Amino acid sequence: MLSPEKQGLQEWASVHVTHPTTVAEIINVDNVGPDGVLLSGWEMFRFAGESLDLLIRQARDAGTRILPIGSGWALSRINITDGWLVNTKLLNGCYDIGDQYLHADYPAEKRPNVVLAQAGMQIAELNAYLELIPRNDADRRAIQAAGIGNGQTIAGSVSGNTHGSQLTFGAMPDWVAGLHIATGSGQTLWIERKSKPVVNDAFVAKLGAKLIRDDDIFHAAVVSFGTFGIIAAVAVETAPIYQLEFGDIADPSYADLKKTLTGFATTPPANLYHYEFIFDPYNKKQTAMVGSAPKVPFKPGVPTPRPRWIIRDKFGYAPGINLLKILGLFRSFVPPGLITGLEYKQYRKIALLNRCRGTPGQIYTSSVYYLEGYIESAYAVSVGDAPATIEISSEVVRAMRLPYINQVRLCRASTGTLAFTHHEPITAVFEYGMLHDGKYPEFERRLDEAFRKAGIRYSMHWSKNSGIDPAKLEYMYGTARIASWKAARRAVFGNDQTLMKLFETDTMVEAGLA
Amino acid sequence: MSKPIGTSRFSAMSTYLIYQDGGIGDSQPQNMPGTEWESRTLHSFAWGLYRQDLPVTNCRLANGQRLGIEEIRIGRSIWMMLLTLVTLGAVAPTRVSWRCCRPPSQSGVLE
Repeated sequence: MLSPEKQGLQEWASVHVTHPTTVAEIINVDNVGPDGVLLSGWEMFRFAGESLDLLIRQARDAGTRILPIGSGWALSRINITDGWLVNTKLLNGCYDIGDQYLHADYPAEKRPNVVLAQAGMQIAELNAYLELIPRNDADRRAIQAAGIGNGQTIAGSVSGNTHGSQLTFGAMPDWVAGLHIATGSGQTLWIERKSKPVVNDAFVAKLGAKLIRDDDIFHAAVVSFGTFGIIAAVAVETAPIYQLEFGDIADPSYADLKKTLTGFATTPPANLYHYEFIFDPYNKKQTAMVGSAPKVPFKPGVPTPRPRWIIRDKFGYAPGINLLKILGLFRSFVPPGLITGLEYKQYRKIALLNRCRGTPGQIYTSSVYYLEGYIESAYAVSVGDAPATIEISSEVVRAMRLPYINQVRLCRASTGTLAFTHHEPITAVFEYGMLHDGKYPEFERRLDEAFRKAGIRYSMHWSKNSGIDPAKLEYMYGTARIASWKAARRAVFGNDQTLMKLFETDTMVEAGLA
Repeated sequence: MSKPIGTSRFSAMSTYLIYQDGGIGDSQPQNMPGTEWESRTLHSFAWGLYRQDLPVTNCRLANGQRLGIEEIRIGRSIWMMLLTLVTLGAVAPTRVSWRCCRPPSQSGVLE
């Protein structure tokens, strides 16, 4: 049921307070039905979709833009609107799909692993549903890709292209098998691949949706950052339960690391699932830290490892919200290499996975309350270009005297049309956390210049960038992908320009995607 | 006003963050809010003799079912601190912000 807060214009900011804004209204959507009863099962999914569709039509009548919000973790302006902000976090149901509703062509061995989760379900909630609720180990399942944290909502992580470090799988959008979307047309849509149908007509009828079975539309809709309508639910393809086993952090030389990365480009490793590395652009020893883990069989009774990224000490003390603002004032007086040296040591201590074993739900639990005034830039390249990117990134960082280290996570290339993790065969995502000031866009401008000069194709993380213009977008994805994405968007909205405009954010207009 | 304290440069001189932690399997993040921030500025007068309460009414589903509070932020701006100092504690304002819990997740099999 729709519950507008009825406060009218109000200030709103994402979790990391990167781009405070004023929204016209915040509207909560939950699973309460028209009679005031909490709905479940088919009724719940159907009514949620219809409520969202109604809300979009109300926005059209009110002449206001509308944007769904997940957990609000994005650091870019991707989740910024001046219109209605739709809080989907109260839509957090998750169900297994009865065999009679799965498509006849869907493989028998995968059938027990498909679940239908509502858009606002948090990844931590999904993990609990898959891993902890089943009584028998044989019934436990796990998600196939996760970011380092688990606070995102399902729709937010998928449509914003959250990535993890799954070398042989992909990023989070790659576990989507189907999407239930409201567009304001009066009937919700179920979108899935024609080449890999997952549900049958009876399933779609139960949802009261219209079926779109089309590979191009599916691949475009998966990574669409809230511009294809409002996602009500997602069919998630999970895997039988597994664990990851992290050994000691390795400290290879740059030469050895680059040799490994080059090797990944030709022969993706079969024995590793997670692979990430950290480097200090000022490190004269030219060594990096590597955290990696193979997928191992599930062993019951393994305790949850101590969460990473917890910055609170045993007495409960943690850096306050003004810390970075103060540190920023001193930044110009302290040699950047001194700060990065300290960061590098701290990262090993509190952030990098080390000597632990667990399921994805136990391992990927970082939920650091990001320090306000902090922001990130993330850029992806093919793993074959990763050695050159280490040098390019370091040179830009040193030239700007920026005092921050670089984290790099690797995942198999994604299939989403505008997935920034699309670089074959494996995408290396370089993440660079920094203070949110004037140097942030300048850093990305210099990177863009350096990548073009070196002839390296790259793409910016949709949730971690200072802005993407049409020229940059074309360099990142090429005209064919962009045209395909736009055509898919028109098809989803039935070419209804009024509805399409409701979902046009400033970010997508500036990128030339409108 | 839903803006919590401390979301612009040096707008808060003291803040406290209170949140739920743990959960099933000890693998939930330290906070899992279901709503966006709500905020109010509260006043205490005459060294606690008279106070302003904060009845929370937004942490509920559309049918009125309560959800509970997931996370609270308490803080004071420099102006609040100065007012408290100048009045020797007779007027002591504080900014309180909160986010509500998520409802229990509905689950089962679609038959």
